[in-house]
Amino acid sequence: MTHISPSAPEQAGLLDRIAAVTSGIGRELAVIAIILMMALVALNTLARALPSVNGLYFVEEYTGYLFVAVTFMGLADTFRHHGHVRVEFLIRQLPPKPAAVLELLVTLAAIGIISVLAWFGAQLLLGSIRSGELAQTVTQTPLWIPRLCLLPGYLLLLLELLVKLQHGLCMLSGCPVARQLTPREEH
Amino acid sequence: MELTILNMVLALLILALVLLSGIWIAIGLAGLGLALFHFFLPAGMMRMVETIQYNVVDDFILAAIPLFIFMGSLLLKGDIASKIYRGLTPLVSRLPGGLVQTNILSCAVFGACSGSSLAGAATMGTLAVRELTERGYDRKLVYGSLAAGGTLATMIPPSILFIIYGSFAGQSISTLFIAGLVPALIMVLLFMGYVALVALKNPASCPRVEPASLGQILTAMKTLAAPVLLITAVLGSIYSGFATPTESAAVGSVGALLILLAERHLQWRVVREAAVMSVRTTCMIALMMIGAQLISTALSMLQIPFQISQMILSLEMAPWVIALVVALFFILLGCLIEGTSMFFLTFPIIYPLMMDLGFDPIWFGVMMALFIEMSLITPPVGLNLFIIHQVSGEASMARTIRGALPFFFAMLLMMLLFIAYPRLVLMLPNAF
Repeated sequence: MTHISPSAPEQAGLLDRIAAVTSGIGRELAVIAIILMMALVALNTLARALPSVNGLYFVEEYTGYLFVAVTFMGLADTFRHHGHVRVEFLIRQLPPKPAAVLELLVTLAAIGIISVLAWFGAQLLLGSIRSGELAQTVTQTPLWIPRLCLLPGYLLLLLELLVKLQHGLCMLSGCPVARQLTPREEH
Repeated sequence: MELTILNMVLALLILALVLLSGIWIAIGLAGLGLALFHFFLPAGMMRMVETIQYNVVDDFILAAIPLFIFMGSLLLKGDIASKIYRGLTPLVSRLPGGLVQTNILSCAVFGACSGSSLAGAATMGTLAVRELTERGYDRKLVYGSLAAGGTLATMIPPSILFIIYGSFAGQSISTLFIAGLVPALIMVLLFMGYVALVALKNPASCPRVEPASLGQILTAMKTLAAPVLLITAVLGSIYSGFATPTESAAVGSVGALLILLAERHLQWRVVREAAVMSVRTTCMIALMMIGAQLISTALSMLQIPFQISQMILSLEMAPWVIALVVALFFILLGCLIEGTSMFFLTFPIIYPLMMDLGFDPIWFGVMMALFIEMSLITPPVGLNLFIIHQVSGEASMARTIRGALPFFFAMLLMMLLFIAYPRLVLMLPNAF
């Protein structure tokens, strides 16, 4: 059986609170990105309808960057609110203890996979900074700027997965578990 | 290590087991993609993962996804759904089936506003279940019509699935939107026809509604004017070529904000909550896209879809037999896996395979939408069944499942029709 220190519930609570704040910050940044995206594209489209007005040349490019921001900044909050789909059929059929073990293994696997993606995200960012790569567009935006979103996005998601892991360990050791959000819980 | 078809089948079985274990599907897909790169491709190729995960989402076309979801969420938060429901009621009051017909039409109109099947079923379910059951309508028919009606959003433009499919398959999203119109219309008519038949055969199952007066119909049309105008503007701008789907989604979101303003519902809280809904759905889809793209790239470099298609071609089966086998595969898979996940899980292999076998990409996009619609009402993981069951407050889901079954058969009928006559799907896109 997995052993954890007696102070684990408090630690789980602290980690959970930190993750709630960081995921919330990510979510708010993603919200801003969606609203900016809407304003930018709508303004450009409506302006184009006017006679002798051309569309803004940077809108398509920057909308893509904003979509990158929405994707990665919102990953952790989506996880926190059970937004990432999974098949829970097997876990639900199992008795509590084996289900907790399976849940723990699945969380460990997810941590491994997201860590690899985060590592590649970091490599992409460092590579862009080192090479000074610019977008092949009129704006010639330094590409490290939009690529900056990947690493923090994955790190926030990893933090949520660690909360899940700690929660799983608590379940296994029989200690009181930390707060668990339901899918419908408001942020 | 060499990746043969046998190894691939083994890998898929392992993936199926991993997914059943309860791992988040997007993360599982990414894991499989990383494993394919690591074990089967030359070491240097692994660096492609860096750019793939960024390039998938640095895309102006796909930005239509959060914007359309934002538009739908704004309408949802602004209570427009109940206006659509109230507005449609007098218009169908003379049809056999009464308010059950309203369920189907409301889901169709709301689907055109939101592009989300789940939102359609949840919203219309909340509005209609209690009222209809209190009026004495047959519960089974009410639940079935709402669960099945909710699925219409997957086919009715602006369908989120068509945006994803178009982007992944390199097909025009506008053409897919046009192609979805006839199947969606046929499906609405099939659903309404079934409800009318039940009402005529067993009048007690659908108590008659007082026929609406001309005044009531005019008031209803006024209530419906704003959402109908919005849908027309959004789709009209795409079909006319004035705007791309992303542009029309952004302008549509502004239109939804204006509707909220006119209805005195426009508050920062509402806008923020709608944006949060959009963020969460977008992130769920986007992480799946990253995983699916990793798998897709690895498989195409290994030429696996090509090898499978060569193997199938060597069997010299008629195209309609292949289409039927693929359909059966999707129906069975849809019983086990949720629709969007099913799409991302199968696309990297099935799409190139179907193209190699000579199937039309637009036709196949519509068929994928149909398979996903069916998966929403097939037990045990049909999400619309869960939603309507939850709304109904019944102890067992059996009545909801039995209620949805005839609608599933209607979809099955449509599927066979489209396999036999692909022209039904392609006539409108070909005419444009």
